[in-house]
Amino acid sequence: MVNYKVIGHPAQRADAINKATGYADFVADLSFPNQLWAAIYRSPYAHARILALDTEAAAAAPGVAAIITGKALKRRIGDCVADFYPIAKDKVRYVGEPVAAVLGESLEQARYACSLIKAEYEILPHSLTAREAMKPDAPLIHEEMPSYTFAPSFKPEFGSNVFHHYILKKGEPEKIFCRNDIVIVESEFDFPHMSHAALEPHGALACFDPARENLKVWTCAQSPFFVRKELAKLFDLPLSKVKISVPFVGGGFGGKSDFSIEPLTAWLAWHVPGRPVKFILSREEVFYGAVLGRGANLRCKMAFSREGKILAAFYDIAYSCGAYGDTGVNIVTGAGHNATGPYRIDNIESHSRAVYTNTPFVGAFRGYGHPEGHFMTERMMDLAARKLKIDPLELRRRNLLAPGEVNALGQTITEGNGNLAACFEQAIKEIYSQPTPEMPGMLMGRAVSPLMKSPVLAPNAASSAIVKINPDGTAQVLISGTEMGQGCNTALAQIAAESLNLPLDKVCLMPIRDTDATPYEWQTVASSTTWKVGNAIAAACQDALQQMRTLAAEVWQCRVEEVELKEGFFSRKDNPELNLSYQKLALGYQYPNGSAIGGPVVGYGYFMPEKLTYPDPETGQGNMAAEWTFGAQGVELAVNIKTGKVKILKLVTVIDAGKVINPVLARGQVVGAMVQGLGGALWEGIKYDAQGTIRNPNFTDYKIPTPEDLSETKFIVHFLENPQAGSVYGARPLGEHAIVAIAPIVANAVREAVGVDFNNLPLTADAILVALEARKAEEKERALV
Amino acid sequence: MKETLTYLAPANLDSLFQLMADYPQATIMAGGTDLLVEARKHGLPSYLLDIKNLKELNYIKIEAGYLAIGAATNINAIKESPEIEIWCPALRKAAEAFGCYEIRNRATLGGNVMRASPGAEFAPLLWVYEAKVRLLASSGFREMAILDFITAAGKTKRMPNEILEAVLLPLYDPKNSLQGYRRIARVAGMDLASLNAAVLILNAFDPEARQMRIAFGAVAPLPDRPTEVEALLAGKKITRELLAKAKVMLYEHYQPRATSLRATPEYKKIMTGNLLEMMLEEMGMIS
Repeated sequence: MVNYKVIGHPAQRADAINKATGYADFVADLSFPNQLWAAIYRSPYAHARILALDTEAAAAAPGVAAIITGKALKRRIGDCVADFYPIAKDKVRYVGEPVAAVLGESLEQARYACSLIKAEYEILPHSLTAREAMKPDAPLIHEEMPSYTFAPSFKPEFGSNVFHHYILKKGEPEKIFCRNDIVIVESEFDFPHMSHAALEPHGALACFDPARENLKVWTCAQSPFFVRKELAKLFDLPLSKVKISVPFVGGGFGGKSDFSIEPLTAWLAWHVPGRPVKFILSREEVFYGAVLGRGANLRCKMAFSREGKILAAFYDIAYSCGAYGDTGVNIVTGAGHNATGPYRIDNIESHSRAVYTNTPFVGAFRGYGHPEGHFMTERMMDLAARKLKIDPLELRRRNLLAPGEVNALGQTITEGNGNLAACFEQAIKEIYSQPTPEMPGMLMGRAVSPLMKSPVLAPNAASSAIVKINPDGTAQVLISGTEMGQGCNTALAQIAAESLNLPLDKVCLMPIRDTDATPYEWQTVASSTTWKVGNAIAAACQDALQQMRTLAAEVWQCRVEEVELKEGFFSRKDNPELNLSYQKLALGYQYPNGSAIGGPVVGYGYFMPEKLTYPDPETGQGNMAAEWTFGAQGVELAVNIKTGKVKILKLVTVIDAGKVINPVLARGQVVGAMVQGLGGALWEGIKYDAQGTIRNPNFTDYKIPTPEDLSETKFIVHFLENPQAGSVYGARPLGEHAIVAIAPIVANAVREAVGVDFNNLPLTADAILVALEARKAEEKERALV
Repeated sequence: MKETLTYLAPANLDSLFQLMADYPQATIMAGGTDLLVEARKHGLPSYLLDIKNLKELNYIKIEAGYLAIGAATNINAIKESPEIEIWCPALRKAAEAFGCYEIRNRATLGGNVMRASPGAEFAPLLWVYEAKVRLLASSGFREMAILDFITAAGKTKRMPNEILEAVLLPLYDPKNSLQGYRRIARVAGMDLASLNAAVLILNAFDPEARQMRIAFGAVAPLPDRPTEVEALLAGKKITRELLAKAKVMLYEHYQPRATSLRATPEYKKIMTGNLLEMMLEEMGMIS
């Protein structure tokens, strides 16, 4: 066991006071002289051709600087699927799609003028779900799909609404399903669209210089370099002329991980060069004007031996991706190969499809395909356990993926991936070591499931870091991973301090995120920042130390190996009296006579996930998961028989974190993920009317859990620390993992409590009580017969 | 474009009636908690007449057999009032369930009545209490049963020259009566009621003389009293068997609209009986 001085300790958040006092700046806090405000006229139809647009009255309204449409748009953008126009060009594909924008001297003026815009449409038939949109006679949402650019590994089906079909094949599942000595379990599951409900609504501020040669954007993006790339494409600018700055971000959860409103804001700014354009979404607009999450229908057929070994699995997953595909397409691949859950399955056929639908576009949401797959697989394991008459925990034990075994992608699991079985057993102990409490009027249920998650990364998902040593012996770290509340500025400063052998208060993780100034970061997603950027920082610190060590050797005229690192200084091994502090070396070394050697110390480091590949075009397998985090979750709950309400008594998460960098922040992430998971399990879901309008675009009717709902819940979090192979301090991703198995454990425990299977989310009190009464009525009828 | 919002805040009743005469188009507001929600959708009205600070409308007092609550009395005041605790503890329960602390500090009982929403927090209770409203005009006042006053969702019999001055609750002897209020909401934190219910039992401890009053909110276009169920349960011991019958009647009696975002019709139908059962159990009324 290594004794670390800084990592592993509960350091206070670096931004705590600035955020608590309101000093920290978010995009909405920024304003510039001469700034214009944007208001958007949005489509009232889910699918329609724009015939005419009347903006005359709006243009004549007071304070209107410009009215902008998409008519002049030249190219579609998107990294994996280039299908996106920031504002409708000739056709609208969802209710809420921007059709025209007003730039006003004030927000009120912009909004008023916007209310005067009128349009005529030719209404087209629409599809709100993937399964509808996959029907042969479904209207085509993107007729021009064959002309779009697709990144390697994505497989569109032209002439349909399926813009990516990922197929994974392993073994010979069709042969297994023909056998007559197997037990087959089959079912279908549904995860609705959700809102990330981040505290900060999306906001962006964009400005072109008068010559339209330089674009500056301030935004709440999780991935500034990604936004830069796409905006450079949209305006045909060199990357060096597009500057993306990210101030503090008030929650992302994937809803800000790709582009959202930046292309639109920049498109508006392009029309008023020299004037900044500010665009902050209202809460309602966050629901239909940014990006949604989840929205999957999952069908599954599994074959078991009578002894309870999984022999084969067939998955058919369809994602309702909304009107544009770039933000959601990679989730579909991730869900396709993670659908197995943490089990060894030798024979698999998995089809997952990304399907255009007439809703707002859908993207990453904490868990990225894993909560959907786990909901299916962990419900299936319970269904199978009943059919096989095997204890559900025992059935899972018999199939857990163990070191030395091969997963769906063909990767061999090792001890360096963490200890899945130990996580599972610890969660079981937490839930089952005491008898179920008895509560009058309540039906009790318990469940435990194992979980796994990989970061679904691009194969070249690089991180980089710069470390500058100051002449007072402090260090500044520059990175471009976004601080969105997860605490990376604190945890990463701890990694830098540990690596530089400095106390934490001598190290500052600079709050600046700016593509002109801070080094490249692929994206702040996949819970990967502490792990990926942490490794880049550790490398940058090594580089800075090596520069100082080399300089010290030159000063002492000795070999570099003779120079030893101590706490904030170097000394000579054979003469410990001789030492040189970081202060003396930071800007180069200056001799007593004034002359100097060396130069300012700036360390650079990077991290590239090892040997990732695209999926094999035939099998869909490949080295697509840079690491696996294993864990397990358990719940004890009570269902009120008169109201159907679920009371969560105990919620357990065990994660093999490799190494916990900051235990308070890690627990915060895990508890946050558990609560967000409960939201999806019990309350949340976008509701559309038949015409495709969101009926609950507000917190009045989109209910997320609040402290009152969980005041009696006991949250239990355990971290195991079996180090991650290839990670400097052994840390592995953990931030979103505790959302992964919440929905299935809640559904499985509710099944135990009330005897009804729930395959659709959320499990509202309404749904539970109605099902419970229906079951009672059925039983009564049966008793009479 | 709406250039201005004219905000009128009279200092006393005389000035109020003058302003009402001068600005007949003005929207009267008390707490403004619903007004702000509406304004996000439809914009603010051009004229606002704020009666929030009229002391004459802000009181809780006993008068001639009634507990009178001034229309501009806020919900926290109701929640904390000792008179209400004694004379109408179920009203206090409704006040506790209402919004959050900040909303309760602004919202008023008068506003809740005048909005006449089908799911209004206080409606079932005012229905079982057979409460009255007192309307005031410069020429004088009149009183009316709340059942007659509210005619449809969002509609009342207030005349343009009148304001709601007070809500009058009859005083039922706490020694002989029992009362309850229950609501169902989706989350335990701030939420609107999916449905709500109140029960008032008079002569509660004399089964033969017992009178039952029951009302539900958000299951019908207006708050509703299922009079047949009241009759079924009145004047006798309430056994489990009898209650089961009442629950079936309630289930069949209501046909809630299917468009609610808060609960399905089936859930509401089941919950009417369950809420009644929960309140009767709490009162120890089931034998």
